[in-house]
Amino acid sequence: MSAFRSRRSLAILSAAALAAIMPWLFPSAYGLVLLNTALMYSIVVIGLNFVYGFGGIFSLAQAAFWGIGAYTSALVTTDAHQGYMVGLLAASVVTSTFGLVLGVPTLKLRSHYLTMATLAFAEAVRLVLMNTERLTHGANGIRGIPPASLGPLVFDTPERSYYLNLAMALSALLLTVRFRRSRLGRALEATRDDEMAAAASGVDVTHARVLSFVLSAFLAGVAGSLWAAFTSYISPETFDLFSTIRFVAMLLIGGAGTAAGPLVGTLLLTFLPEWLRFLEAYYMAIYGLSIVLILIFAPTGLVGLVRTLGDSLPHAKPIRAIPRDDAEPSARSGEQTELASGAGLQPVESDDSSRPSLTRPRGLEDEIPLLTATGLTIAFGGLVAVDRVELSVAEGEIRGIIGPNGSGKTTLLNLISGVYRPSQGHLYLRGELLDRFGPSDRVARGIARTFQNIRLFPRMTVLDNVKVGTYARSSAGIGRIFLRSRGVVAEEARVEARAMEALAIVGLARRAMDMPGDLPYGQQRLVEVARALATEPRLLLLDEPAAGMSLAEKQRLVDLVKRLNREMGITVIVIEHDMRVISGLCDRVTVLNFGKVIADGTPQQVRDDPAVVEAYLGRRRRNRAESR
Amino acid sequence: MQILISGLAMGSVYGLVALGFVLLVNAADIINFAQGEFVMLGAFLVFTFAELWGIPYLPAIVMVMAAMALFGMVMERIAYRPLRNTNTATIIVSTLGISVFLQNMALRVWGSVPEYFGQPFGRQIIDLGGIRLVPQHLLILVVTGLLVLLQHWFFHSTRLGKLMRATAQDKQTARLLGVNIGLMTSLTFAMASALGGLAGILLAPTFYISVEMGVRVGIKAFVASIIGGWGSIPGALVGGLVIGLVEVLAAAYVSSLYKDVFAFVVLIAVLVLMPRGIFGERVAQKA
Amino acid sequence: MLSLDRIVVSYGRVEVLHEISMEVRNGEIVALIGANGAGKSTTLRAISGVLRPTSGKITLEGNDITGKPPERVAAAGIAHVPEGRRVFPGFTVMENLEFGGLALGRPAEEIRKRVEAVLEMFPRLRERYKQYAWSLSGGEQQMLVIGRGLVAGPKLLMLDEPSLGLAPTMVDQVYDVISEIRARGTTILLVEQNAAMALDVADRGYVLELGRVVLQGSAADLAEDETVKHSYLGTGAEDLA
Repeated sequence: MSAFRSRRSLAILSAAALAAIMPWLFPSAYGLVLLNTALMYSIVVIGLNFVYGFGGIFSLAQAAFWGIGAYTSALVTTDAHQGYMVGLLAASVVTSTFGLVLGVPTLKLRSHYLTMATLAFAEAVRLVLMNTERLTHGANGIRGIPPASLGPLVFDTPERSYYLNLAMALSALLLTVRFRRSRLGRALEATRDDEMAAAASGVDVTHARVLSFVLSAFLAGVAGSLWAAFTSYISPETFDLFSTIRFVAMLLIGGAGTAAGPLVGTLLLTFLPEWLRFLEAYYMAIYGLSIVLILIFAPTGLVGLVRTLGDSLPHAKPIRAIPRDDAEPSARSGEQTELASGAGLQPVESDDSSRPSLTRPRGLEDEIPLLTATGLTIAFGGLVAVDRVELSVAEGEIRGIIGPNGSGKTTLLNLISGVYRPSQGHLYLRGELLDRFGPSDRVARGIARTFQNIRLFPRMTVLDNVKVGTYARSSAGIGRIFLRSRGVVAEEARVEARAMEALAIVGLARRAMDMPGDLPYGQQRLVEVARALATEPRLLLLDEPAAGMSLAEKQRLVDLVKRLNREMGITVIVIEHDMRVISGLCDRVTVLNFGKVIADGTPQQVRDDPAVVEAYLGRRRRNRAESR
Repeated sequence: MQILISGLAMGSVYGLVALGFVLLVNAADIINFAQGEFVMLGAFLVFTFAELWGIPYLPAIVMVMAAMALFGMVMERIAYRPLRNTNTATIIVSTLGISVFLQNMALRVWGSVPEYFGQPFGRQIIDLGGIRLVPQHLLILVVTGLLVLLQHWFFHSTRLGKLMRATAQDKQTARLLGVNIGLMTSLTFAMASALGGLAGILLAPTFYISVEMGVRVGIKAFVASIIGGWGSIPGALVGGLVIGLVEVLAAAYVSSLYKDVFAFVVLIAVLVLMPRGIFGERVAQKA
Repeated sequence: MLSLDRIVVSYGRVEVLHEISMEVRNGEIVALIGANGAGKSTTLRAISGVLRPTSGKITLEGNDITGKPPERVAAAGIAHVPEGRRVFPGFTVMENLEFGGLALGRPAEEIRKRVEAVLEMFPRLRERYKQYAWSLSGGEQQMLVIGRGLVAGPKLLMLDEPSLGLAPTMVDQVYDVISEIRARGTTILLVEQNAAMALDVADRGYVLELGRVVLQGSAADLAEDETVKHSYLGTGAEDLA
């Protein structure tokens, strides 16, 4: 590890040295101006990376924010005769406010409507800049903008400005890196990749999106302020849709969603026209074509391309068949496999000190049931999916829910977890009305779930997936994350410990750094369970957890759920088709058909109930069976 | 009254461009930033064929449309097909790359001085029962009207048209029924390009032809399709008419300097009041 | 008629089908059952060409169709009706049915005859033949997509989860239709999570688990098999302790 560390430090040091002497390496003054331009652009593109790369929101407003920042800073330093720092501050505040104002209503819109709304905003901004003579000087633009200054230090030459812009760009990069590794970064990427699963893991989806919007606006505003001071003249045409699209191109070519992507893409696309100048008259045309070509050969961006190439080097993992868990060679890693067949689970970490955090002793039996549903009803179109369901689950119970396909089991789970609102009826958690709480709020209150079709976040490691579950139990905000305060560091350590613990409980600690797509189906399911455990639930909803598992895996699953129930006091509701799992696990079983409860009792009672038998087998089989 | 007619005429042109734009939205789920350049190319090509090379007007039109259709298929091959499995943003940026490429190639070929394309049907004002029309406007209205009927017939009554519509509704299922998706997309690009070219041909006599003319028109086509309802074909046409009328009325009664502004005023109004547009969003069956 | 020989399919770096071999003989109904994620739909997609196998061979009546694109496979005579009742919503029932043969270049007269035959088999569709497809109920849409597949006059009809999300009475009707289709001479490969219904109507079956064929045999034998009964038929007495 230390060899790697020192190599890395060396790399950083040499990069720093190179950056420091950069102005002297440029033969022409124009080249240095271009470098400054690239640095300022990169801050805008880093902002775009937050909203589109990490957030998945295709916003076309970025150049507009850049313009607002530039104009605010310019007006403050010219017409209002303030110092540059005031201008910079004003630019950041004003732009961020616009980001908030635009973000909150529009983020509720779907994909292309959202894009349209940002487009309308962008054009509105440009038109205002163009036409309100008294405020913005209209089409003439603003001249004579004083250069940036910090106290006595004035950045009035390209060399000096270079250091300022470099510092700002690096700060933005630092923000990116720290954000990405923080709970907010995970929350945003989770929201981007699977909003429903993110909400079900406790993430405040709206907050994550609005934050990314505001951050993108903020960075664009800062860049605008730097720009105005550097170029000393701004006019409305610069801040148009095509500028935005150029920023998008820089981001895509560098690699959206990566940390270095914005810088790489911006540098390339800023310098490329210059390199192509030798083509003289055709160079802009070739530039256009190059954009297309680069996208074809590197659709995930250049940074993504470098990563892919790195992965395909000989020492990387070869393609392998999905291992059957029974036969999985533990010899590969030399570790003792903790999946001892049939004997139940032993976590790899036997570190007792970390146990108590997730363990809750099983409390006394209270009279108030943990979960109550009264008259719960929901219809889709004309179809009543859940029909006046009454349900009462005691604390510490394991309840099974069974029924034929389409009987409303998953819909019921969706009602409990908050994905759907019932048209009639109510839900209570320990007597408290749940109705007004959305999915992420219910997680905070102790309801966690897994999904029938596995919903893991494909672009994060297994460990990060599980960490998302801790969102509701952590609190670091963007300021502290950027400053990397001690509180944040400590919280991250706790988050990591909890997540590893959850993985250990399901027996997948050694897979923490794998990507979900590399795991076999049954193990992916267990990661979902671990993610749900990380939310520290009182009630765990499992939707067909045993689907796609081998017999041995199902046995292990049953043992796991029993442990969760008995040792950690978690109440469980499980939907399943496999009667063996139901019988082995559940204290009671509720049977649904056509959205109604048709039976309720012990597994034995339910299995023998004629109404249940008929519901499952249907007319044809029953006729067959009867005729035998 | 003249004002209304000229507004409708401009609007029809916008509608045509928007129609091509919407076809691509439906078929390939992309925002084609090069749509305006198709218009520009069409205008320059008809200028080149008819004025510079002296080919008679009607055959020139046919040649331009054919060339544009061919160009559309080439663009599909280069800028769309290799990227078809990536995300929408990448494809959109790719069309931007093509847009830059086209503008600059046009600059190289035709230079930066705007050209003037004489009125092919003379400048004699036609009197139609008390309404006085510039012949070019009449031509635009007639051609657009015919085209609307043509495309309706094509998409609703011909085998190929139905297949194209079905493919736009559900690509995967269409594949399983034997449809060659690549061919459908290619044809759609050809049509979008030809429509853009036709708009350019119609537009050429009314303004100066310049390399930048595509940009304005392209953005208005985008706005038109939003106003009319994203993905809706009648919406694109109606949206175009709305913009044309608004522009012309605003220029006459408010101020001609800011006529571009009004398209966006309408856009913002629609987004706030009628976010799904005039005809509402087309029913899309996604997987 | 159709045979799969050690088909391997991968999604990216993960293998999802591991050397699947099976065959479907002329005139029979073969059921492919297994849990969610076992690879049943993936198998159909490998046959119809939506997915390309990384190794193995698929032959239809002796012709190698491995890795051919869906257009060619459809032209070769395989109709794949995917899950999800994917009707074309903006078209009428009649037009939807016609699509079965339209892309394959069948002459209008032939299409008309086949559509007529399908409407005869599905009287409910005949009642609604001018209605737009989006206005049909779930069961009717299922009938529509099956009928659409039949208009192509396929040698092999592949149905993916026809019973999914349908009420049991509708499921019964759909399965009556499936029997009828076989009676009229079309070979069927049927994928189902509802193993009971599938094995009831099929001649032979394959059980898929985690991308492998773990059991095969006649439908009757499979229905009596203990493992199948427990995992998929929701019956059986053995508990997991």
